[in-house]
Amino acid sequence: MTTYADLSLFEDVDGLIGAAVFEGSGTAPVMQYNSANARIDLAKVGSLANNVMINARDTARKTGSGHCGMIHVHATEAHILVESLGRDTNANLVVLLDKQCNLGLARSALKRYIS
Amino acid sequence: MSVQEKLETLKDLDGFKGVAVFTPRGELLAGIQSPDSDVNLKDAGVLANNVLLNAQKAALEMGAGRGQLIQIDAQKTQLIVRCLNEGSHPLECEPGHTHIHMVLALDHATSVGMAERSINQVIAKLADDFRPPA
Repeated sequence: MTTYADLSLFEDVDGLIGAAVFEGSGTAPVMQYNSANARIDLAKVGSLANNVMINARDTARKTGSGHCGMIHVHATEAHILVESLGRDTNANLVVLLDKQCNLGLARSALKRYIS
Repeated sequence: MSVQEKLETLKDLDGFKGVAVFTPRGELLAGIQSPDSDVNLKDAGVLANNVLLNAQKAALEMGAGRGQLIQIDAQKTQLIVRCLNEGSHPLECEPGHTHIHMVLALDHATSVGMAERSINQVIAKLADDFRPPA
């Protein structure tokens, strides 16, 4: 069984709603971190975002664009970042942020997490 | 300025591979491609458009609002898909309201911030060209 690093490094990211790791097409996260102010069902939201990543990965493969490492969805009320945790693991990290978030800090935390 | 000329302003972006405009259902309306591009823009556009639709449905279901843009960061290519929807329904087309999707393909190592700014500017200029009758 794969083990993943603690998600608490995201707690310093301004605007964080939550972060979660999903494996494969999993509907439930294998680990998650909710911001204290978050009032969302992270398992549901994360699994929807994870599904978008699976779709994007399939598209990248079919178009010959290579492995899809990351997707970023800009919505009117939130940013949704999904980062692949490795070509072989088929696991994804989903990070949800509000629109006033520090996106640069979030991306930097994401890179630190996968390294 | 014609649609083609508006799209051609994106050719100045570093790593430009191609850009295309689609209906929300994935029908190609217009597009240009760099001659040395390794991407089949029509196929990539249809698939990337589908990812945006999936993301828009997911964003609505998760309460994140309307999905306006998705960036797909793959090994060889960055795909940026932007939605312009003047209508009140997030997923449908409405008479008198422009609803188009724009797919921009770039090299992997590209300034995404600049590309997002440019795609936002160009799609706004295309609104009048693709507005259906009321």
